[in-house]
Amino acid sequence: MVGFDTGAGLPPSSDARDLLYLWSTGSFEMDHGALNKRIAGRATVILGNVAKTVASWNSRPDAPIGAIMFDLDYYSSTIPAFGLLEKANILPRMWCYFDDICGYPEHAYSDGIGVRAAIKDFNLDLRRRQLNDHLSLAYAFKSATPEAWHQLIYVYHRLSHPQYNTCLSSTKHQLRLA
Amino acid sequence: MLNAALEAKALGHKAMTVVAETGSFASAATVMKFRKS
Repeated sequence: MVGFDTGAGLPPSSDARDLLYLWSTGSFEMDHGALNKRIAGRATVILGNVAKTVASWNSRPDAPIGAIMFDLDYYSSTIPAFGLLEKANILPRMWCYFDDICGYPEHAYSDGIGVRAAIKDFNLDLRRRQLNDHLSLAYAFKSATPEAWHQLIYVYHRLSHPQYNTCLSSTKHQLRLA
Repeated sequence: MLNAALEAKALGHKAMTVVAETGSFASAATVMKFRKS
């Protein structure tokens, strides 16, 4: 498991899409001691601005990226973090959690600002549209009791992945008439 | 994460990377501990 963080809280921003009416510079500063105690060696923390750290990082060759939790608050931070979705070593379908796309009235989240706008712009990329690769809400809770977090789960489908069409089921589906 | 792990296994991988960006990191690490146990 790998975590990315500035280590110093939210960076300065002047981008109105970053919901600056909610977030102030330096918010969510890391408690390094408490975090290291919590993760207890189970994970790696990469400190710095994601605009630089994500671009230069790659997963272990034998461990493709399969799931990402996005909790960057800003539009301007989420866009470079989507560089993870463009890495070569990922699963054909990548599960994503977005913490900042649904909130309370004071958040006033909409599709034109914040992380929702970042998702929209990611999907509008011409190269990605030509490949039909896309990031979309996961419709995966058919048999579950509805819960608020279900609307925060997305899937990145890389249709251009060489294993995208590999059938995950080892048995043939069959419904028998009684 | 469980769905992703199952897919990774089905595609023949023995390991998978999970990434957390900032605030959800400690929570995700805790979930990993729970899943492993």
